[in-house]
Amino acid sequence: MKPLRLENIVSLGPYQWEIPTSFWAEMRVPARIVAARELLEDILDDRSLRQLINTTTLPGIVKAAYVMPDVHEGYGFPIGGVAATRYPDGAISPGGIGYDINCGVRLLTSGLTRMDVEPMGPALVDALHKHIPSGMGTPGHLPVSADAMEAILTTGARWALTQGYGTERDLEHTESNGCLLQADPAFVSDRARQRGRDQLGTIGSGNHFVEVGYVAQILEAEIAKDYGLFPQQAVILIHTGSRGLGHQVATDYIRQMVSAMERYGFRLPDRELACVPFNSEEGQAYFKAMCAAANFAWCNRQLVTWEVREAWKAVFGSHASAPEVLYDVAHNIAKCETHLVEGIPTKVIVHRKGATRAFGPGHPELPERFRTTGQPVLIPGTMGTSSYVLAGGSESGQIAFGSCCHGSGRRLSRTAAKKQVNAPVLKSELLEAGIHVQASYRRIAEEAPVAYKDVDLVVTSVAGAGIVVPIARLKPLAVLKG
Amino acid sequence: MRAWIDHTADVVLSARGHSLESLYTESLRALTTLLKPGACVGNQRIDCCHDVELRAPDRVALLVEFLSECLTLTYLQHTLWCHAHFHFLSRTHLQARLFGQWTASFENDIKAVTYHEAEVRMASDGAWEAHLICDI
Repeated sequence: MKPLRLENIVSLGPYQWEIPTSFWAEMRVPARIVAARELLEDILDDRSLRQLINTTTLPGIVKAAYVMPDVHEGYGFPIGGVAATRYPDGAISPGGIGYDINCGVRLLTSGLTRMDVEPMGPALVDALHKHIPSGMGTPGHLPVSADAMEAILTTGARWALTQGYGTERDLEHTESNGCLLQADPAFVSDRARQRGRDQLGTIGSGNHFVEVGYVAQILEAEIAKDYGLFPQQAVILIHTGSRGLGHQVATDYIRQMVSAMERYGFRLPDRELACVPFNSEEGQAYFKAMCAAANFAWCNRQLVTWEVREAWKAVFGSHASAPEVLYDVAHNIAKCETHLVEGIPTKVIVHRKGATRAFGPGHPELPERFRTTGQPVLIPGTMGTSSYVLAGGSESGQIAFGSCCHGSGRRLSRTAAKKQVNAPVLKSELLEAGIHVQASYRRIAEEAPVAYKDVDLVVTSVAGAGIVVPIARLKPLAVLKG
Repeated sequence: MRAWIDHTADVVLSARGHSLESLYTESLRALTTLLKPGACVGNQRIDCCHDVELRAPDRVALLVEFLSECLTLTYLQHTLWCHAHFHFLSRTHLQARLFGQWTASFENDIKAVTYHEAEVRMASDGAWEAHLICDI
């Protein structure tokens, strides 16, 4: 492949760009970028667009391969990428989902305001730290038996309800009701189950977190009201996924597919794109295991929700109503969906890796609750910057298979961030700004705002492209990091 | 000899050895040191051992799968593996015994050793070199 330059990229509009198939003979479809012009030049700095171009070679890929404005270099698929393959025999690629299957975000709303919560910042951070296991190797409070694991892999977040850790309303406000029905635990290895056994109800480490914040600005009043959001309202964001169980499922199946690929005559420019036909034995095994791992992640976020509610009760007392789920979105997942391809409704396998579903008003897959407004799309920023609540736009289906960005997107490696950031100083500055952070200095440096792209510009890009409507901007008050 | 190189969201693990066996051992120690810095420095206590046998389509895949296997065993057995003795090591097949020490904690969470841009090659001085990207 020749080097990619700005002049190879064609403008489709102020927020959409295309690398045509004429760029490289191996491309089956164009590569498309959703981004403001200012972000496009940054994106060219790493190899994420080269990885996007590699993604266009997937067997059975349709329409285009996409990246969102928070894209950064990954392995195989870029992180922030979306690609769809023809059902049933197009490829399924575990690298198009990622190792942290169903890493995702959940937003809880409360009846309290910033004024109620801000004075309790230190107590709240302590309570969250006490109730929510975080960090590398910290086990959950609830070890899972073999029978329970089978039920969790099959029924997802519903298992948590049966144990008293949630409500029907929680499930109704979770993507896919917190369970992919195609899951089959028989395809999840014993090793994956062992790794997940003591990790339920934990957030892990890295960029995972629980963050208490408030609604700093309402951007669209009618939908905000429908979502139950109001100015200065205290809210809670949870970011975590399937932990070691998901990592092991991905590892197990990427290994299988690297060996199996040749039998199907698949040759790809990057081994991490290893794939097989969706309807092959290996493809179905992976998909069923991926669905099971996704179910584990939804159950995990449900347990963390319960832990947040316990922490909330400990700080604000039993008279304060428990925080409620607004929505829960996955950003590393594959789903069978129907989208317009060349004007024809077509069933496809949508791969979202660091990308969030963003279905608009009227979409039949949305619960009745969000059928008029479009689904909430949750975009976490960094510990010092804004996060956003967006709504799927009416045109979202036309772009990137109804998908949106998932965050602000890393721009500095962890090592580079640690070199640039004085963590104690940053922690003090955040405190002066009213933000209490529970994290090691190392984690503070690695996850500093400077390590990420400008989330405001990322959101401007996806809104400008017509994928979403911005509803509310959130600001942090207290952050628990792994 | 081993090193870790910057990558936006991950770490590039780079290792070098005078033979394939020493390359594999150095790669293993690099991985373990990423999990817990200082783990493979000085005299290490040996608490346990574990036998592995793997087959892969080629030399690069074999190293990736070896390190993936060691990573899985690290998490399952809470063990830091710093030594390996190879009974057999070819392009596509290995049998080895790992030696490790138990640990209560890790400092970093490595999700996976990836195949992305993975390389195993012989350098001009006859030493073996490997570069692999780990998802952290």
